[in-house]
Amino acid sequence: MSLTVSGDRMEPRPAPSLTRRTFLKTAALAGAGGAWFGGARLYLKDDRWTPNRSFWVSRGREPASSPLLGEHEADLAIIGGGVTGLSAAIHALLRSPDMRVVLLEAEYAGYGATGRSGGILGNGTEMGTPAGTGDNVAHVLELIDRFGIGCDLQREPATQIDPYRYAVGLKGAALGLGAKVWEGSRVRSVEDGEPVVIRGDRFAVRAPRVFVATNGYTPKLGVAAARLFPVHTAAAVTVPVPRDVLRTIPDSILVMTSGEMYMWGRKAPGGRVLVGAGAKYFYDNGLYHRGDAFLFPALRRVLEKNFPALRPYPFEHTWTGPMGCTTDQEPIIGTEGATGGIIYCGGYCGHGLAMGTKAGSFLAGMLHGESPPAWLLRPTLDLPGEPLRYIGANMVINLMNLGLYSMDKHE
Amino acid sequence: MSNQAARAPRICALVLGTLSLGLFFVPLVAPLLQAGTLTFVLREAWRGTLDFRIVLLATVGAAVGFLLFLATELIWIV
Repeated sequence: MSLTVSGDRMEPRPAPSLTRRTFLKTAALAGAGGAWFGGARLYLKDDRWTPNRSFWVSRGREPASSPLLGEHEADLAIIGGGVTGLSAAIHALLRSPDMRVVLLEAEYAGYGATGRSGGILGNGTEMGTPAGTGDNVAHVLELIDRFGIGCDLQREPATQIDPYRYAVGLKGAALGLGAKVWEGSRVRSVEDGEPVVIRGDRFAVRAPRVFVATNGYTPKLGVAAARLFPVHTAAAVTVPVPRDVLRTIPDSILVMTSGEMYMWGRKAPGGRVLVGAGAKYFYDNGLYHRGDAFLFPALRRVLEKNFPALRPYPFEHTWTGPMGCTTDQEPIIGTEGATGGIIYCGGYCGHGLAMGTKAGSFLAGMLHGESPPAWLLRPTLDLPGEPLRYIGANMVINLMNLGLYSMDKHE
Repeated sequence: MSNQAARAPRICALVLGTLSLGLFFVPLVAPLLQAGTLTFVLREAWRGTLDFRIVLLATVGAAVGFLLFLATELIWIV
C-alpha cells in the first residue's frame, strides 16, 4: 500500500478497484465464453435443407410443374405448396374465380411438413379444439370428395390419408380452378410495399397480397422470425408385417414417452406400421436434420418396448422433417411489414394436415374482409435471437422429454 | 493463506460442480460450465487451495453432468 501526502498527514492510497490480474482473468473468461458461442455458431449454422424423402414420396413422385422465370404480376401470391398454401389458393379461387393467383413452391407440392406427416387427420391442435376447428376433418373430407382426390383415404376406424398424394390432389384442384402453380421456385426474399415484391433467383412476382404459408420454413424468409420456429421430428415405417401380427397393433398409436412428448403412429399401406416421435431445434432456424446415429435406434426402442410383436420387423424407410412451432404450441395468423400486404400462417406443431387446410380457408376469407377466429390472431411470446433461441428452445424440449415440464392444455 | 481466502475457491468449486450437474439439460451452457468447472478445480488443486474431497465432488458433478447432457441430447430424444 502506498502513502500520499494530504496536508500535514500521510494517508493510505485506496487500492485500485480493478487490478490488472482481475482484468486479464475476466477478459480471458469472457473470451473463452465468446469463442464457445461463436464457435457454436460456425459449427451449428447450416443453410441446407433436409434431403431425405418421406415414405409417401418414396412410393413414387408425381410430375412437378416447371420453375417460374421472369417478372410477373398477380392479385394474390402464395409462398408454399403445402396444405395451407394450396388450400388458400383453392378457397380464394372458389370465391373469386377471376383472381390471378400465383403459388410458388421451392421444391414440389407436399415437400415440407405436409408430405412428411403421418397422414393422420384430427380436429383442433396440440392444445385442444379451439373455436372454428371442430370440423377440420370434415372440411378435408369435403375437399377430397369435391375434387376427387385419390389419397388412400381411410375413414374407419381412424381418418387417415396419404398426405403427399393429398397435396398433389390439392395442387391439381388449384390448377383446375385457374391458379398458376410453380414448383422448383425458391423464394429468396419478400419485400414489403405496395405491391409486395417476391424475389427468387430467376423470378420476381408483384402482388398486393402475399400469403406466406411455409410453416417451419417461414423464419428463414425473414417473416415472423420472432414468432415461428422449426422443430424437427422423425418418422419411420416398418417392412410389411404379417396380418396376424398387424391385428395386435392399434389403428391409431399414441404412446406417451413423458408427460408431454409421445410417439404417434398408424398402420400404413402395404401392411406396414408407421411411427414418429422426437423434437429438436437446430441453430438459426436450421432446416437440415443431421439424422444422428442415435435418433432412429431411440425410436425403435420405444416401438419395441410398447409393441414387442414388431421386434422382428425392422424399419424399411426413415425420414425427418421440420414442424412449424410457436411458443404456446398453437398456430398463428399475422401480418408482416407496414402495409399489411404480407400475411403469414403456421405453427401447427405437428397437427397441420387438417388444421392447415382449414387455415387456408381462413386466409382466403381475409381477402374478403373476414376475420379468422380471434385466437389465431393472439399475440405470442417473441423468441430471442441466437444463441439464446437455440438454448431456450432445446432446453424446453429437453425438459419436456425428461417429463419435468408440460404446457397447460385448453381442455 | 487466511481461512477466508481458502474458503472462496472451495465455495466456487462446489457452486460450479452443482451448476454443472443441475443445468445438464441446457444446451451450449452445460458443456461450457462443465469444462469451466474442471479447469477451475484442476487449477486450484495444483495451487493447493482445494482439498481432495472438494476436488472429487466438483469433478464428479461435472462428469455426471456431462454424461446426463449427452444422454439428453442423444438418447432421451423421443
